[in-house]
Amino acid sequence: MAEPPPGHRRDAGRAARGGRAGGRPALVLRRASTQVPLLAAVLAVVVAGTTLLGTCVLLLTTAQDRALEQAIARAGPAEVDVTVGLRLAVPDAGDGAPDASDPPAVDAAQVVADATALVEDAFAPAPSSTSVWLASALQYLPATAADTLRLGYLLDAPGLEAAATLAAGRWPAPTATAADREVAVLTSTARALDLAPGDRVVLSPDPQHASEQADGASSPGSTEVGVVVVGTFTRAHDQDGAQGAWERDPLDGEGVDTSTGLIPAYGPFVVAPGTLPATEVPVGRVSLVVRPDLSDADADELVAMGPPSGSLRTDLTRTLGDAVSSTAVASPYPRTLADARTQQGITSSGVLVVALLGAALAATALGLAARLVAVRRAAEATLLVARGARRGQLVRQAAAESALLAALAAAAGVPLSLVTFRAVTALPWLAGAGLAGPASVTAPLVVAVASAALLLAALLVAPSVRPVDAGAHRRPRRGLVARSGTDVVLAAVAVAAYVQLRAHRVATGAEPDPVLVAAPLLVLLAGAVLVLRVLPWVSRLAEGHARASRGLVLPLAAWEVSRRPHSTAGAFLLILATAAATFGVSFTSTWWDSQADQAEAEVGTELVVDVTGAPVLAQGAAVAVATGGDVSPVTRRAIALGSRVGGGTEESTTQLLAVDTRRADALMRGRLPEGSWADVSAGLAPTTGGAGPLVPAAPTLDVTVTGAADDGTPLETVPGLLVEDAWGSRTLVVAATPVPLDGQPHTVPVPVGAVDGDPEVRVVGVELPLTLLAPQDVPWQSDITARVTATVDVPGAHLDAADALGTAGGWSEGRSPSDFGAVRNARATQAGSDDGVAVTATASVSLTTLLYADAAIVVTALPAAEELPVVVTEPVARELGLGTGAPLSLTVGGTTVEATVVGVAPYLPSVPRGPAVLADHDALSRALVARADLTSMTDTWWVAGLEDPAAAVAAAGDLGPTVTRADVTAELRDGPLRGALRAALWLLVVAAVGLALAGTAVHTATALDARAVEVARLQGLGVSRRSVVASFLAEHSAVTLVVVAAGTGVGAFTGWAVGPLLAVSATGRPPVPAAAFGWPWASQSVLVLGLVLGCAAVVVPVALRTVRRATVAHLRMDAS
Amino acid sequence: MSEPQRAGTSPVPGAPDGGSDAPPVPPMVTVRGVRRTYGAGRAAVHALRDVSLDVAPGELVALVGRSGSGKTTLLNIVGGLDRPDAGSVTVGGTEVTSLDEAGQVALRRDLVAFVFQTFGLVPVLSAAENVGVPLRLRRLAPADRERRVGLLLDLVGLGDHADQRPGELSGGQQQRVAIARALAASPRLLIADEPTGQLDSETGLAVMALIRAVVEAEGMTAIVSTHDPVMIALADRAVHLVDGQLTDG
Ligand SMILES: Nc1ncnc2c1ncn2[C@@H]1O[C@H](COP(=O)(O)OP(=O)(O)OP(=O)(O)O)[C@@H](O)[C@H]1O
Ligand SMILES: [Mg+2]
Repeated sequence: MAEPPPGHRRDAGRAARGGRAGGRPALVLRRASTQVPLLAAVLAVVVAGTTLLGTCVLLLTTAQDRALEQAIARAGPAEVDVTVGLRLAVPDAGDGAPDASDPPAVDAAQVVADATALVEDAFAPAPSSTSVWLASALQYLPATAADTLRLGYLLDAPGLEAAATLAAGRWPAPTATAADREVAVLTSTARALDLAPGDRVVLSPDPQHASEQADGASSPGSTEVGVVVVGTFTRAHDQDGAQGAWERDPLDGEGVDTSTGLIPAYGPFVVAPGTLPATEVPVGRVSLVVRPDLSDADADELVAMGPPSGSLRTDLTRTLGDAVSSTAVASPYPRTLADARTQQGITSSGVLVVALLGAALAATALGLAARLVAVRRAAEATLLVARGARRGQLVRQAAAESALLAALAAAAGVPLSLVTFRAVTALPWLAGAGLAGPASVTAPLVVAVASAALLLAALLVAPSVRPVDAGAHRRPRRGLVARSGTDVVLAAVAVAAYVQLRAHRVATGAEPDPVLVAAPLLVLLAGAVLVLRVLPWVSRLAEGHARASRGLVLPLAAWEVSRRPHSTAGAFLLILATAAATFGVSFTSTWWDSQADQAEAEVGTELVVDVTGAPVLAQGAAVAVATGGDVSPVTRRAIALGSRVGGGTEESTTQLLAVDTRRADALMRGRLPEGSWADVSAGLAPTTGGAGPLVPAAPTLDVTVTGAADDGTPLETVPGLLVEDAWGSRTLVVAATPVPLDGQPHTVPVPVGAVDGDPEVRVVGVELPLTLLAPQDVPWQSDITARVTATVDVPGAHLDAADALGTAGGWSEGRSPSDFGAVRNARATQAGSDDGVAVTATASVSLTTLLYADAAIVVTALPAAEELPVVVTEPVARELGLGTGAPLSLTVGGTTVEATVVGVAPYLPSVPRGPAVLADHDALSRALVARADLTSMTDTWWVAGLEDPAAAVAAAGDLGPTVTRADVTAELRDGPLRGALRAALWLLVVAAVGLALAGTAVHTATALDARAVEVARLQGLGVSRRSVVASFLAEHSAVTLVVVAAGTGVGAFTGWAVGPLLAVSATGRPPVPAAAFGWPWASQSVLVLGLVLGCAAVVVPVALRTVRRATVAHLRMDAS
Repeated sequence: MSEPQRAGTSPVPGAPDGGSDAPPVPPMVTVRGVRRTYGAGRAAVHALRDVSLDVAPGELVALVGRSGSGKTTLLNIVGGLDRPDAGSVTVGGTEVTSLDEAGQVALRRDLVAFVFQTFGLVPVLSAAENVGVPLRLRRLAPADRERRVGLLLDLVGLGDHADQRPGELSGGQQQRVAIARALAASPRLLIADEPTGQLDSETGLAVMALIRAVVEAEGMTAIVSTHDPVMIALADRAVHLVDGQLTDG
């Protein structure tokens, strides 16, 4: 029954017998051996603290290096490849006065070699591969029958096949002789030049007039080159690196360039790879694409390498000298690297916050442990001092012990950090980002761990420097912090940091951003310290309650709570730990959701498909079939807005977004502060329906045009139809050949480009450009006006119900502001029959004006509103001072549309930042058609409502490049440069809980040590053990609950105030949409409950043990 | 030496008046053949060896002995704080040694009150609150409790020190608080273990006189241990404990 009295008396006795107190190792060891559990606990806390710091250091260094390597290795060619376009100092045919007798003095091979070496050197030591495309200087092609001169060029483009699809024949092969080299041409070139496989063309530096061609195919000129077409091809749609390939072609893969004012050019004539230099035609243009292989480069090399755009251009110009007349360089790598480093900096900031919070927690826990050690040794210290030991000796002794602990902790901390790092990077999202793997011991790790261990261990010495008076039960003093007013200062600093964070616009650079680090740290610390100040009020309340109650159990608990000194540090630890952990969980959620929000805003919808290589009218059906989703054509391009032209970066240019706003809720994504996109875009869509003949989808439509001018003036037209598919995508399809307006019916094929079997398409407009066949007969002195009437018969077409009944709006005029009034009062009617629908258009045409202006009769079945309603983003509204109802001029392409602002949105889907204008796709298209601009507004396709997103994305990938919300979200969340933050936050939660429990255990042990005698006394008074335990548990659960609740409050406040501001975008700017405070109730409940139960699990056994051990022996003891 | 004690019905007079023809009043406390040994083997300390004692109701017995003679041990056993290795103790007719934990708690709560050698005040509680503890155990209404606490503190002359904590009181004051607390629940048996041991003789006498007065006033039985012969004068009777055994003188 009787137990030995508690240890410290015994220890004190032993130590006293140990002789004069000195820094004797023997005494240190002997003393340590009697306090093994306590010192083990202290060591564990130091090790935990140093391990957390060490792991954070590795996350800041090794993981960040790996992340950079991974991010660069994963960067697409467009983000890394250096593209150099050189125009050699070789004259093109048609450039001023070419002097054929002067041979070009440019060594193209040397230029290529020099330029390649220069660029590749910039990426050394990483190996690079360089693709060289050579284009010949422009040469004359045989002129047309009307003696219009034409130009062409040869292209030597290795790898071009990957970006092209053979349409007929085969790819050229090298030929033995210089004569009649094999070439392949684009189908568009072939069509324009009327070439087919087997045809022969001569390229000559001298003009080949029509008259000369009769003389013979080969003229004696020595530099003429004859080529034989062996194949035709089309551009492959942009995929897998084909993207951008055609930008290397002098005509961008268009095949034809008939820009006014220049001799029309055609090409390329693609020769077999590597054969151009052997021809007599000089190389005129060089395109280099240098692709460095950065997969093996380490972070330091990556940071050091890469040519800045500006200096590379200068270097090239200097190196290549006179051989080159112009140089164009695109070097995206520096930008890519800077972006990656910015993300590194942001992630580092988060990790640093975790490290510092962890350090603060570890320090607090150690403060508690130090006090426990000091209390247990107080008697001994008093005795030693009484026996003549000087305080300095005690301090030295404690220092020796601390040094030993620090050494042990550092020795354990380094390997443990490595192990923890390995475990953390094995987390699925980090492993998926390529960060997994062991780390090696680095200097920063060792320095951080060692200094952390030393600093923490030094905390153990502190109490012996300023001794605690053990067991002095004075009235509770306000903590040192509160007394000194430090908390108020801290709060002021925290407010300053918060204000700074609010004002923070952009974080850049690879280093942690001080603002991002300071704000959460200071707000958490200040919150915890301030809450401490409030706690005594709570306990005073409890005390008042105690006075008025009958029983003993709860009042005793209340008294203990309010009067025990030393509880401040324990409460602070638990508050800070709870606050840090709940903040960690909250911020993780804020950050996580914000990434999804940002991805939504950036992509704008579920899936974006840029359909390439298919006619516009085949695209909608293809996308719909491939994805099975809700499909809308979308206009997304830069526009000029009133006087605001913008320029430079994408974000300073106004972006136009036009989608089918009738389906806004389904299509448009991106969180709004309030309301939905349907609310935002309400009123944008036209209220009236369209009309026009419906035709079964087909690749071509044979229309019959019958028309004439009433005065018999011979006119010609190339009829065009504005055709709309089932998804509202409209495009102008134009007949292949001109048709005379001579009163006779002429049937002409129109390449609609739709696919048989797709849903019906609708003809919603007709364009009849007018050309005078005999301009010389039209007197230009006086204005001659004729009435021109033309009927376009669309076979197989029918009218839908509204049209047939005549209830649809009917046809109206599309009037071009740029035709100098050549066409006026255009009108049209439609008439259905069993064979089809005939659209008859009539207009008065100023024949004189036709002499100098391009003009067309444009009629449309689409009624247009007077003004296009649009929603503008806040930057536009702010910059132009626009409010609702303000008029606005949008210049889309070359056409200016009058618009009215009907609303202001914070941003637009797919245009998260910068000025942007939202219109309804249908309404925009109608507004342009009303101005006779029939250009297709279908830039891309948006798809939403996917049932099987993965399959849809895979299928859509065959149509062209895709962007999905899910992919962007995943990249933002788990990309190599991003994942470490989340890992660190989890580490913080775990460390906070662990340190809180360790601290509570130590603190409880200290408190109960002092309580054993009291418990015995209470029992002696007739208080049952059960009551003592109950009172004790009531006391602890009350303290724990209040403190955990306070900590949760601080965590929630910090998460609410600071979290959304910390969730900066990948570019370091405030996120769009603004991040929303996340508070996952389930996780937080689990966390808080875990903390409370964990504390209980720590406290209950200690309490039970203390009560069980309270014996008669304790009654014999002084309380002090 | 112990033979006559064991054989005789009582080595001491059954009642203060000692009238042999009065009806026999059952003793308040009966101690029979109690032994208590700490430790075992060669290190064993025989704190009590075969102690027997009767205390009549209303009697104030001084338990006298030198330091280490076993006074505290005996008192703890009588109060149910400790158990003897052999022998039995009855308090107010209740066999203390066979009580279970709940019974012991009830005994200390309702029958016996202690004044400990080391005062035994709860340090976090003020003087008044310490005195109130036994009353709280009986769930007295707060108003009644406050009144009785005030009364008792006045009784021990500490009415002005009600809100001071033990750390802020002198030793004598603490001891008086302890006495007030012991008296609070009107116990039938007051056990005071060297209530004057840590006090100067003047204060000690005052405390002892106080005990004497309240025992008489409240009609309690009291056992007070002391090694101070001066105190013996104030007791009805003195029993001497020498080396764990009772002697007559
Ligand atoms: N828990 C214990 N373990 C071992 N021996 C003990 C224990 N408690 C008391 N003793 C021994 O029992 C003997 C009697 O002790 P007790 O405290 O009863 O003496 P006491 O008469 O009250 O002395 P004092 O006048 O100094 O208070 C002493 O020799 C003491 O050392
Ligand atoms: Mg004693």
